[in-house]
Amino acid sequence: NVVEQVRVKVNDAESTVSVEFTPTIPHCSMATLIGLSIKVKLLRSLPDRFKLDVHITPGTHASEHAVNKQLADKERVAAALENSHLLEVVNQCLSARS
Amino acid sequence: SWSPCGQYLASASFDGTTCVWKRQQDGFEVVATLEGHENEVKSVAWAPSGTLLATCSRDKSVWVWEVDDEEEEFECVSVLSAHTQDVKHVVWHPTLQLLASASYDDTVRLYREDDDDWLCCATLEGHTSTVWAVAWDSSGQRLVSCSDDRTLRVWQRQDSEGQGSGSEPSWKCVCTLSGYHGRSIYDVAWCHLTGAVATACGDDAVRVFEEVTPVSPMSPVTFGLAAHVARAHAQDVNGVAWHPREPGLLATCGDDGDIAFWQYQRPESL
Repeated sequence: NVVEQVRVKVNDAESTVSVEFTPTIPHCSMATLIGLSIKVKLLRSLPDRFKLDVHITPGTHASEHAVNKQLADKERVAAALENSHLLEVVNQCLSARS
Repeated sequence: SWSPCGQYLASASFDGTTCVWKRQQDGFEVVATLEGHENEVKSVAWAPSGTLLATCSRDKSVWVWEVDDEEEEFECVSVLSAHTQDVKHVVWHPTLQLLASASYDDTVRLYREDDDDWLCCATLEGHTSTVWAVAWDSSGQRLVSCSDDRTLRVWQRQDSEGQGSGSEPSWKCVCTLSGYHGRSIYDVAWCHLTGAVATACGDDAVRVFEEVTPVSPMSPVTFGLAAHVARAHAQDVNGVAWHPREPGLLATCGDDGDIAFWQYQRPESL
């Protein structure tokens, strides 16, 4: 259980979705992977018109600025997902059921 | 990036290579593949002299390549590792052998040749997030940068008088345009015919800015929003370019997979 809570805000009229997640451990090295998995799930589930914002709950992670910046950079995200190993890990994260 | 003669096209790829294509009678053919970057090549730029090519990558480096007379042999003459993060974009000065780069480290850097090597001669700081692209004005005295921080910054070359001969010119941010863009600004283009500045934004809009004629030489530099198409594309606009010879003709491209052509006219009210 690596995430305490997820806060989601949807503005359909403006086509924006914001997902805020709180890693259970402030130095959790999985934060980027968790954020990326959330982002991928949203990308695969929502219509193209939506602008996605996935970030760490402010004050809950030591490297939140660096992680948030990576998640917000669509070029970095696209390049990461071209890495077959990383893509497989993300897919595994998304397929696991509790 | 097109070569100045128009016979060659260079393309940068996420596979880490840069290809150089030569125009044939019925299409294009690869005449060279440039390797060396450790990961995705984000941008390639052909210098106006036709003898140099620049590439940049997520590996944080900018490479300068020399083209030989035959135009089909490329040699890397410098690897510049001044940036501390991914380099997103490179663009050459319109007349001098001066190169600008934009980076995930929130800065713009300039490079010039010194003896037989290249060095970073200026670092432009001010943006608070990734700089996605830069563009030079037609004179080369100014450049404009666009950022994930949703602002445009105009930088002007400062005279190096009083600093002694041989000192580097410095660059000062003379104008910051904020409050216009709703999301990350992915590209910027400065028209060399009219001076208009166009932007490509993650809020799906295309905007054009024009400099407001200063009242006196001491007035601050200001740009006004001259045109705004809110839904230029159905998704993020990623690229924008002015036609080099036809004033007002603008091309844009987006995540929606479309390329759009626009005719812009300076409003009389400006």
